[in-house]
Amino acid sequence: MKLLLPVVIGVLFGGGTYLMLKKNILKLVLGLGLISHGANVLLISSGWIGAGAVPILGQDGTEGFVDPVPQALVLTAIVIGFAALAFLLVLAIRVYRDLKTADISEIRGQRG
Amino acid sequence: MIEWIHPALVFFATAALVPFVKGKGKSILLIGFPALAFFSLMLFPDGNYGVFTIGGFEVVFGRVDKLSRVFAYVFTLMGSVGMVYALHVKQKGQHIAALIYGGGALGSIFAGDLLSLFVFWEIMAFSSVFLVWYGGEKSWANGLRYLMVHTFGGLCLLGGIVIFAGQTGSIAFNAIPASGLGGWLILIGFLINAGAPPLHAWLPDAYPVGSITGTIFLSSFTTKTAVYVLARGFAGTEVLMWVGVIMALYGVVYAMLENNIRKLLAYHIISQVGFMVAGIGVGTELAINGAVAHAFAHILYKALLMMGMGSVIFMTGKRKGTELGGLYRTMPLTFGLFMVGGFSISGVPFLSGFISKSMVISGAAAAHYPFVVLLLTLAAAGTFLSTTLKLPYAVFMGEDKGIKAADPPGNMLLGMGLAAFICILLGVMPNLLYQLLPFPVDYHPYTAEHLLGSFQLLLATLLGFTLFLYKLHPENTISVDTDWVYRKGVVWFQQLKNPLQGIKVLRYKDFLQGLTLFSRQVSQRIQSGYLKHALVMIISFVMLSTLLFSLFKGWTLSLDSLMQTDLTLSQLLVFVLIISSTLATVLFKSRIAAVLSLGMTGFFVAFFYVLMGAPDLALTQYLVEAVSVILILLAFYYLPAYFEEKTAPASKMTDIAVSLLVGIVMTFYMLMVMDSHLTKSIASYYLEMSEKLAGGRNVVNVVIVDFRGFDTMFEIAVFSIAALGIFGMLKLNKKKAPIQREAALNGSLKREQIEEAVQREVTSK
Amino acid sequence: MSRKQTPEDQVKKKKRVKVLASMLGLLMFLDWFAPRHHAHFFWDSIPGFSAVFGFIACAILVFFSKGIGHAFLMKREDYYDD
Repeated sequence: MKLLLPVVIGVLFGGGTYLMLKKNILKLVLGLGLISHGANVLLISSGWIGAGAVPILGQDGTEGFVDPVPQALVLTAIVIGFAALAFLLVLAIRVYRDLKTADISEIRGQRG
Repeated sequence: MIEWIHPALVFFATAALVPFVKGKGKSILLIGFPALAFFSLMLFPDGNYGVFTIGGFEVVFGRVDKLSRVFAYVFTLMGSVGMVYALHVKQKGQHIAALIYGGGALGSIFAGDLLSLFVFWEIMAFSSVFLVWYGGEKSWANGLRYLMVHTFGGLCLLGGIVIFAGQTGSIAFNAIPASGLGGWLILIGFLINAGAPPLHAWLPDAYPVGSITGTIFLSSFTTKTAVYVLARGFAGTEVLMWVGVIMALYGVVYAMLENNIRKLLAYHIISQVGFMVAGIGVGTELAINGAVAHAFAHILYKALLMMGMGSVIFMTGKRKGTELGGLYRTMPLTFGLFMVGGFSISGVPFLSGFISKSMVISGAAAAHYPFVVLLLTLAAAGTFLSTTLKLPYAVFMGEDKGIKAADPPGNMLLGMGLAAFICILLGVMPNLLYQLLPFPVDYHPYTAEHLLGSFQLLLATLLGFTLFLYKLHPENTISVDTDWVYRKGVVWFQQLKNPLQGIKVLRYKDFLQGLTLFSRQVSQRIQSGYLKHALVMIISFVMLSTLLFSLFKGWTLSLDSLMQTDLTLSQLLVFVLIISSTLATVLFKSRIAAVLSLGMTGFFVAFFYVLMGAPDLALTQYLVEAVSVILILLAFYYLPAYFEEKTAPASKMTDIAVSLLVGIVMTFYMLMVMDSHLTKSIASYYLEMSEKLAGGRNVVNVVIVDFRGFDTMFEIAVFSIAALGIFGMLKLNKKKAPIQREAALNGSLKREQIEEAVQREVTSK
Repeated sequence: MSRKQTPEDQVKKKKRVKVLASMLGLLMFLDWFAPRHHAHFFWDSIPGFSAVFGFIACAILVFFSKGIGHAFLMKREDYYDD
């Protein structure tokens, strides 16, 4: 587990980066989605204290639970990641509408 | 009963209501509310109101005592009178800006601590710049320079406050010793707003180009707030005496040379504020009383003068002395009211200037500063000369150039009349003002000695004016001031001329040119304008430097401990699934397949969350993933169908290399992190307190909703902003000129080319 | 530039100067009788000092400012426009 999890994260990040470097603007969006997933998985793995129970309190006291704080943070992150994804998507639509191209290698910003 | 109403709140409320009123309602709102604020000042006793404790520091919004009250009186009064003058202005934005500006000034006056002072200080700067910009298109650069200098001043102030608070441990705003870096920085910040040379050039740069009614407000608030804070914080600081004297003389000299009628008055503001600053520098009760009285009277008669010149510009469209003349016949009321202001500022008896200006000089005399007295008297003569003699001579008397003009509309005359009335009122009944002054007043202006002295001074100056009139004709020039440094000086420096032409040894100019060329080439190569290029550079730089850093630090992995963990079947399954769906997203050539694979990845990640003991997360992830997939599929309607692309092998190699780099570095770091337990988790606190403090058992939810509620609030805010952005992108600015497409596709188009092309578009329609 | 004065202006000017100068003289004379409060400096007790000072101040200001202006301060209107 401890070995595979980082590999999964690495694959997510690597795959996302690969997509972000492609020409099609839609791939940029997909790449962002993958990287978001990677980041969230990374965050939540920091809360894994061995085997633990889901952090919902019962009668048994407050020991032996998984760390709830990264979960809370990741929840926020998921929502914000979604907002960013939607934003980027609409930006892509707008770029295509205005510049008539969905190929970001044709679009050039300010030089120098 | 309400404890206290902050007049700034009244002004802000007025500003908020402006978009909703018109006609008579507008007049009542604009004039009545500031007047209400004025009267409200009489109702509440001295004291500290609106005190909050934030982070261990005490923030006081309403420190009411004699000093702050007297400034508040004149500010609210000016707000009302200025609005009378500005009633005819159609652009609501001007009114809003002026009211926010006034509110900011009032807030600064009543701030009892440095933090709230700073907040209102910045509010003043950022709202007043709009009054400059409302003066027309040509004022854009001036406003920008104004903003630049004020932001710099604000930074000095903030830096000073931070250092000072760090040293003393409190942010209370009382006397600040002008020693140590903190005190000096605060002083500099204050002096910039007061218009002290060398950082004063913003004043004559921005005030003359502001809107006709806007400049009235501009001249009333910023500098006088600076006077207030200097009186509060640096009273008796000797250096201020000399700064004030320099200001007084500097302003008058430049005013003598100036052709633009409002710029002359602007330089004059510097001169008069110099009097006030000098008075504060002297520091005796009489001198400070004088400075405050002078500030009070000055706001009113300076506004009157500005209103007069503003009316001239309004009716004739001309701003220069060289183009004006002979208007006393066609604009008699303006002329008369202007002269009331002019006489007031010169200290003619029975007007407000007489009872206030001389207090400063008397204060300096009583404290035995002969040079200050002489120089300030010199400046006073200069005041009379430039503002009351030269200026009206050029505009109203002098050569009749046959300009068509008439007296301005009723509200503008009324505004001027009100200001003039108050000048006369205070001159005749000085105790009205004296009782408002911070220290008890034992000053009697109407003595034979004083009256005779004033009349002598004025008449002698008038005599000199008559004799030297030929020298004082307006000349169509501008004067170079300290803003030359950032307006021309920088350009000059770039074009350094080789003083020793022809000598091959000194190739300084060529060296500079070569350096510039080289740096331009480097930045053009690095910033090519292509997104991918930038991404590659940024990502590889970050990853490589992290990698190198850890190698440098000698961090390694111990793989043995990692091998000895148990792996359940479900975990293995989830990992395999995530990896394969990621690879699917990357590799699929059909866009639908790729998107669906992304969705699957999300679902598997959600399952992973379940395995990690985070059911709420899993729920959210499922929902969000479903919505995301639907959204992207919807977007397909608007995006082209092609998805496959042909990339050059070199390009593909770079892509793979960079992604591999990212993947490996992230994996590597994750492996290192998993093994270490650097800090103690704070989970125990939340787990223990969740039920006791918040009454909930699902700790994650309790953390999100209660313990870390602010995070959630900002999350919602970010979400809303994204939504707004999306709305904007979809709905706004639908028609875009094709030329902008050109420019975006080929970022090397020059601005002129773009403008030309837009022109062509427009004319061809 | 200083405008050249027509002969009528000269006459007007002379008249104004005469009137002003006589008014000033009257004031200086009256000043001699005015009760002085505590004189802080030596010049406070000189009658007519304000008049003299005012005139000198005016002269200094006019000549100094125009002098320094014409020397290097004053530039043509479009000096800053590139």
